[in-house]
Amino acid sequence: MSHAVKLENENALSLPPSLISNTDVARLIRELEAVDNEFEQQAARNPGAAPIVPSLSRSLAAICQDNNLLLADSEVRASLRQKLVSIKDSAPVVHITFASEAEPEVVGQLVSWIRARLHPSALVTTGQQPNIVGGCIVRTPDHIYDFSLRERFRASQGAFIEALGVALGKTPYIQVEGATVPDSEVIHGN
Amino acid sequence: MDTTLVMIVAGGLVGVGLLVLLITLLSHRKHKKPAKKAAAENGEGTKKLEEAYDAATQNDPYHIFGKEFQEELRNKARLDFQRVINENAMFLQQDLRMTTAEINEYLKKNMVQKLEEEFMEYEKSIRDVQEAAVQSLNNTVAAAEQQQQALNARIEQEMQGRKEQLLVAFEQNMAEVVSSYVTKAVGEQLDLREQLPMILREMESRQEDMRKDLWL
Repeated sequence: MSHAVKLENENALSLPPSLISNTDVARLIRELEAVDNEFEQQAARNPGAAPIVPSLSRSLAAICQDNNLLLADSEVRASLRQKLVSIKDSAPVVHITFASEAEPEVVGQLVSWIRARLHPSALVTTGQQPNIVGGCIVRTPDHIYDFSLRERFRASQGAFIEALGVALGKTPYIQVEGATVPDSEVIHGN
Repeated sequence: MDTTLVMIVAGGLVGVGLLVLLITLLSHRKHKKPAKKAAAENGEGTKKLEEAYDAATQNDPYHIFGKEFQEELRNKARLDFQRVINENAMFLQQDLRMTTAEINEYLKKNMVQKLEEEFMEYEKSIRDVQEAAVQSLNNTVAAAEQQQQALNARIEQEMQGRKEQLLVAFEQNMAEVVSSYVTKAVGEQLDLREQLPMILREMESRQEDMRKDLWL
């Protein structure tokens, strides 16, 4: 089952989940240029003969299949190349940071979700930052969305303190004069 | 009556006395001139005798006495001299004892007085020094107590501040501490695939904001 995103705009490309980052798009452009050269060479070697489609990478094959493109047509190839260059140059890039190395399948699901819900041409780059413990941090061109466990811990600090107070059976810092502890976070011992 | 008789007897006795006295005086005046003359005659002889005696005594003082008598005189003189010496020695010893006793008494009295005065001075000095030492010690103790109180207050204040700092730091870094602990404890076992539904839920909750960011 393909996770390709159907485009609202007919002129736009439906990108496969395996096409993730700018690097993948650039690699695809180079492959498409190679395919274009191959077809030109075939035409030069055997004029009038039906062109033979060379072996394609999974990403290129997927994008052709998802968008019903026939690479034998030079105009299709040119159009595809133009669109890929446009995507490479102007598509929004979302950077996702994980606590550990992300598996391609997980990244693919996230890419599919982003392209389905946010932007069909969005590209994704991934990074690794172990101290976020778990979850991820999503950085768009304008904002950073922290969905990490570290942020959850930080947001649940009051619950931590409360749990700590319950565990200790006393209020270790409520007695401190002038402490900057909000009333809501003050733990009252039993 | 009796008085008159007594006065008559007394007057008679006085008259008899005066008569006896008159007779005596007259007889004495009668024998006085030959005595003077004899004395004048005897004076020359006596003088000569004295000169001779002096001359003799200058050469041999003891020639006029016999040897036994001289010896007796010597013994007597020796005994007298010894007695006088003994008496004087006794008196001297007695005086010396008395003087010694007086001196002892005087010295004792003076020394005791002086010693008492010195002891009083000494006691006074000791008392003054003791009072000064006690005063100094009290001042030192008071200063030490004051410093101790100040130090205690300062330590208490610093401890309080440090405690507050630690608590604030603990509160601020609690998430980091817990994150670090969780990362070390189960970081390797947190499967990203299992976290994916949670991530997608989180992203869906911010979907609109993220969409706006990408479509700007």
